[in-house]
Amino acid sequence: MRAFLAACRAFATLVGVWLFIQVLPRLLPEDPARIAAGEWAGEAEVAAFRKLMGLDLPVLQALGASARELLHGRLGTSLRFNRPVADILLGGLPVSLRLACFALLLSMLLAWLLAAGRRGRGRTLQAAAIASPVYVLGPLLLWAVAQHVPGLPVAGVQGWASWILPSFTLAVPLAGHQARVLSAQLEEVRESPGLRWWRASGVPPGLRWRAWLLPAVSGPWLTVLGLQLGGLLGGAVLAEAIFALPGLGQILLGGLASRDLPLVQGAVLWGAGAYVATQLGVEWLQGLLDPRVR
Amino acid sequence: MTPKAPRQSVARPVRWPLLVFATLLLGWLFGGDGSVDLGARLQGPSLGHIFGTDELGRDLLRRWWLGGARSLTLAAALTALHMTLGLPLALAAHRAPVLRRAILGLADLLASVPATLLALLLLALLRPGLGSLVVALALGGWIPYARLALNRLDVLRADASLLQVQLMGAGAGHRLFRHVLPRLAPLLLAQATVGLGAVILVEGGLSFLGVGLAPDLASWGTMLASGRAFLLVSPWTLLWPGLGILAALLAAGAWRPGPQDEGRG
Repeated sequence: MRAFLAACRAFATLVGVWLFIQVLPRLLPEDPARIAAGEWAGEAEVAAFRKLMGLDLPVLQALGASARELLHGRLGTSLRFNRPVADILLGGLPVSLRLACFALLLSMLLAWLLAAGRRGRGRTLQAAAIASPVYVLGPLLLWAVAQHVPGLPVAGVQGWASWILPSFTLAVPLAGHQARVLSAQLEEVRESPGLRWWRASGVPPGLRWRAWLLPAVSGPWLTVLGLQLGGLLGGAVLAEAIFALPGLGQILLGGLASRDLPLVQGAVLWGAGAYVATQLGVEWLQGLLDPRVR
Repeated sequence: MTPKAPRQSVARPVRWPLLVFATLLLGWLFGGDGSVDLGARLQGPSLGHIFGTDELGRDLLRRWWLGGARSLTLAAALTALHMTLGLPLALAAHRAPVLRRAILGLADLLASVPATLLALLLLALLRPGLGSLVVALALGGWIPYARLALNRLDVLRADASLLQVQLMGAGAGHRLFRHVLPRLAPLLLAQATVGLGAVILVEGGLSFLGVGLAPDLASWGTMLASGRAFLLVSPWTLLWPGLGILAALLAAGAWRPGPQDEGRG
């Protein structure tokens, strides 16, 4: 029942996001169609753009048309490619999905490495990792690798090796945040009287980890992971631009450059959908792990 | 449990002004005249140009100085804007249950779109420029301030001392400015240090992608964007603004109430 309610709430949020994305162009002081048509466009061109963007219809009618598109799974028609937006986005999905998965897995690994360090050095490393934005770390890594490491691709998708740099770049700041939470949690749990009693009475370390430390740490860790997905999606746009990966981020940026409103709206809606779905998944997992949350 | 106000030593709040001051001083002392010199393009560090030169032969230290000042000023202004948007919204939400639902609903809705994507959506609709960037970043930036302030206001509702002040006949304005806002301030300022870092991060990213500030306005983000094209020829164009952003984020992070600050109070 609880899960069902949470799913309903998530769905309502997504409907709200969709409404917001559709209505937003009408709320702005300047006509987006005029901006998209360009500085030298005449009234006729602007009117044509308005029609293409669906801004010539009354609000409710436009929303109805958009809802119909959504239910047919097309998300509208791209102005630039004259193809259904969903088809274009699907083309970029495998690359983005792979990048996000690799980055997330790598960040979980790096987070444990960073959290394992003893107080002083670990803290400094964590802070440095958090403060390394994708767009600083990425180009510098690209420069270093292109100069000194032959054979490791720095742009495009050419086999497995080409995922190393982008996912590492994305993973470092994520790992920093995770490590901060992890080390704080670990420290707290290690000093708890219950665990000290376990240690004193000779419970082997493997069992201590499995039965006490890991469950205690996983809740907060999961929360951070879920919250990080928003940053990951934003960072993926940057990483795809730096390493020339043909994913959703590149499609979004292309749509932005060519003022392809339906394409941008579709990509943002997908991003929000992914974020909301992950939050839902994290909530559900936490319920499984920790009965108190249920 | 309400979040605790951060414990602040004297050294922490002065770190930011120090950084800005050092930046200004460095640029003033060693920055060249900033003119275009096509004969000296993409040079490495030398005595004449301590940071080297960019793709038009301009002194990188001077650009770094101007760009840093612009980035940090913009971030500080945006953070202040976020707070001034969030606080009245929280007060309104606290007053009227109808508004509360509306504002919290809007916050939930906007928070479910990742910040960079939300900004990109707005930038696709608006004319490029500083104003659009400010609007794009302000749209979602107020949310944490409004949520925090509302949370704290709800706690303060049950506070006996506030009731006492009210019974003593203090007006609404007096209560707000003398008794409520001072208690909200530490919490909001703590959030502002986190927010400052987030704004620097997102603004840099947008400028890096070429959709933030215009390239002729030097900022650390736009310097990164233009330096990217010459990365393999001269990494200096990218290294300095990158280090600047890194230092700024480190400073903002060091100032943030981390786990080590909790429980020592």
